[in-house]
Amino acid sequence: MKQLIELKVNEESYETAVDPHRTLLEALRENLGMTGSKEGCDLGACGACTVIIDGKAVLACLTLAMDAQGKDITTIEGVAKERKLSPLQQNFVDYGAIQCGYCTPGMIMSAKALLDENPKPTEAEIKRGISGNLCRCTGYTKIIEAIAVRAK
Amino acid sequence: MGKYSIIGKRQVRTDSAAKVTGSAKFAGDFILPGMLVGKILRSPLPHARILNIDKSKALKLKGVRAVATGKDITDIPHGTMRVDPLPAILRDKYSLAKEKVRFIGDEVAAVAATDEDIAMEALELIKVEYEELPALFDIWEAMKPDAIRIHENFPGNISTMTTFHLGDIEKAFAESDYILEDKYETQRTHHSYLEPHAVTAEYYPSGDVALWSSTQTPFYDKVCIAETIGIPVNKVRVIKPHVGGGFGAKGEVHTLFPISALLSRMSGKPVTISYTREEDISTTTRRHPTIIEQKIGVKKDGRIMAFDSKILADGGAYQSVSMISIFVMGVFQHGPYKLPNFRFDARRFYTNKPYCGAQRGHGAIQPRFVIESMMDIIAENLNLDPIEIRKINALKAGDTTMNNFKIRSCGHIESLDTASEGIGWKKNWKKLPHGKGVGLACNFFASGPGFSQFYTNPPSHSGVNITTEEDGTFLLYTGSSDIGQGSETALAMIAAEEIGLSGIDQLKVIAADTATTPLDLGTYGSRLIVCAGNAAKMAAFKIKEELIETAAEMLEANKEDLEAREGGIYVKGNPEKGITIKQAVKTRFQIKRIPLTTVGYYNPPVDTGDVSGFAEGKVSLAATWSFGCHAAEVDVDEETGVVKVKKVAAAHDCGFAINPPAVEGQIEGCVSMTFGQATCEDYRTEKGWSMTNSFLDYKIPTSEDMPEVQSIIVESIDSEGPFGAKEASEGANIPTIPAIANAVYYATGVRIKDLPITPEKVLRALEKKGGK
Repeated sequence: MKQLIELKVNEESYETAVDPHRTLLEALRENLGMTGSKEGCDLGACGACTVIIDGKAVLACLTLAMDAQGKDITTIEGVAKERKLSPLQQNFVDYGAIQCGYCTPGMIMSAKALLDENPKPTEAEIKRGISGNLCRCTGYTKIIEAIAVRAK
Repeated sequence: MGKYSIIGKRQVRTDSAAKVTGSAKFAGDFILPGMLVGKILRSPLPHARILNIDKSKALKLKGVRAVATGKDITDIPHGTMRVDPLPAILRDKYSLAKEKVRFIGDEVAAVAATDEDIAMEALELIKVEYEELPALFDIWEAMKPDAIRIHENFPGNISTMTTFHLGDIEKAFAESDYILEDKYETQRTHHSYLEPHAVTAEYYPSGDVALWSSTQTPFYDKVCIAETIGIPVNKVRVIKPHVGGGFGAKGEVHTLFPISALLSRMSGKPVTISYTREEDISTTTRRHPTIIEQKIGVKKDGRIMAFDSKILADGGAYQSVSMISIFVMGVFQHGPYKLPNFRFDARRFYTNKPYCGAQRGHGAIQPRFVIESMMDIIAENLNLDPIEIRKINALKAGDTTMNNFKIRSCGHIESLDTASEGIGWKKNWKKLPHGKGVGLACNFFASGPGFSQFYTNPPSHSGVNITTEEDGTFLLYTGSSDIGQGSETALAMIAAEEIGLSGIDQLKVIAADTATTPLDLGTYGSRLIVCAGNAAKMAAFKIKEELIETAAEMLEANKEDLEAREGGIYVKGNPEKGITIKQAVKTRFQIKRIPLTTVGYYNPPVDTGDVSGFAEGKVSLAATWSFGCHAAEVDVDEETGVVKVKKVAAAHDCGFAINPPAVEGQIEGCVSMTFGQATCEDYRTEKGWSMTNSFLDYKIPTSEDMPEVQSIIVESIDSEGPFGAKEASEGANIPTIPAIANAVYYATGVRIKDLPITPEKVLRALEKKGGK
């Protein structure tokens, strides 16, 4: 039986009806049409669905939509402001940290959460910060470079 | 000013902004009005005959709009091995099983419903009656004389057999000073792109169907979809949106494409199917596991006299592209070393397991692990340096191998020199403390297959059209598939350079829509930069010529005296006298009043692709060939057996780097993938069941696992590639594994001959050696 919930995503409130067992990832993608967050494993093992909830990087595929009520949710769609890329996004572009792009939204969300909490992470801290985000294309080299620029 | 104004410079990818903002649409991101969710019912048995399928209960469930079985498709099996004169039996799989299922996960039925939960519930309501058959779980069972045939047409369960003998190996071994015989094993690995297979299909009342597919080969898909659901090919439109990686797996025509089209036709609604990760790992293709017995004869100075290579491969339940997989496991042994005598005997067996196909470095990875390991053993026994033995045997530009490969450019020696320097070979090789070591290995790979396994008579291998807008900007249409490697950006750079534009922002690439872009065979065989790249260059050259002709009239000059560069057309040697390209376009439209579109295409050179010598292993397989060398440094913990790879210096001869950061990215990604294959990745089954069907069990490298990667671009300027470019996305996937294996040997004195190199195997080998 679907229930009406209210989600605050990227500083806007949305009312939507979901079954209680549906995940935040499903609600974002299917109910709100925000398909930037990706499903790569549905098991919390790849990080492609990472969003930020109340300042922390969270796996949207392991979060029930109902449990995300009353919290501040930021998705990849909310990172660029007024059609301008954030400095972190711009670094991903400039440093060639993108290939297929499927891990990119989750990777940026994890990196953003890391930098928001620790603006000057060491290389080891960067690697730890994105270690839950799998990327099969880049070997992580250019992703780590792009994040490290922010820490300079 | 350098020779070029656009290519060779560090260019930001054209799809960057879409990908960092989450607006890039992948096949599972299309939400169409009334769209249904498709799910596939899969066989729970490894081998069985289907007696009956009762879908009545499923159809009654509220929200179910269609249930399809093998009865709803034509009798034409799908599969990409269809070129004349290949026998029809090589296409051995139906999108939905008709009489038999052959592995756990085989497609039996499919459902379209209003949501995922209903679709899943409907799957449980489909009642399938099976007659279970004996199942064969390894090649030893499969080759028993009394074994059941998994496919009726294939006696002995041999799905593919390739044997040939070039030269005279008996004589060569008799004349050899040293002979080494050895046995190696390689494991099954999975590509593990981050985007599982996905498709969204919409069937229209007109009888047309459009699909947004996660694919490497939209033009092959189109034909198979049409044949499977029984409609003319021109009624199928395959659109390739952004694709979240493929690495060879998405060059197969997977069953979800025709199934989604069928469900959409049956329901009258758009249907989307996204595989779960479990479905993806356990039912799509994977790399062939092999057992390789190799005999190598050499002269005292290390010169190779002969290879005798015997390969057994476990193919799983279906054929896939194994004709190619098995053939290239042989012929790719003809480089990077001169091979004067060669015997090859390879057999691939059907078993009741998920099937194997192409994965990045297709067919080259397995024998290369063997050869590069053995080169080091031979060098040690002959008291030669591993680098020297690799140099003394090197192919060079201008050579033709004994099986007709034309070596047009060769960066083998430079790769050896730069990779070894990168790892500090002179100070580190055999000089590091016990437990630490460096090792290296080389590679050799095709760049642009000479023929299509699919089309007998393709109009060309790659087509590119370029057209202009009134404002003097350009559109480039290509049917080639960028699946993340950055080929669209590279094509834009090639075309912009050739036309003489000021930047790639003056040209937009429209890619991979079978209804609007010219045919391209697809992303496989590392063909794209050479094939689509040359086609783009040709179309760009032609449009430049047309514009120069217009400019010549405007400037009252001979067109031979004009050149186009950086957005203008100028009189050579007189940069003040010129017009902009924009002016030339505008004037041409005003004066001639005809549209300006040019057609570029590419076919591999005439000395490539002749398959008449296929049976003897003599086929000039590719337009050109890439080379490279990786050198690895490892740290082995002899208490735990854990191999820590500290660094890989990876040199790759890509001919010419059109977009250097993209080439570096390919090298870095290759090292990551095969560092995983070398040390941990291992797809396993038990009695046909997938035991490693999630990223929790099938572990791929994370950011914390990765070694430092030093990517080294070697440029040999190839005569066939556009501006000298060759492939950069597969060759570099090949040498990491043997480089690590060799480094482990120098660190510990033990040689691991079966992959992956796990702590258990290292410890066992150390115990056997009696070291600890």
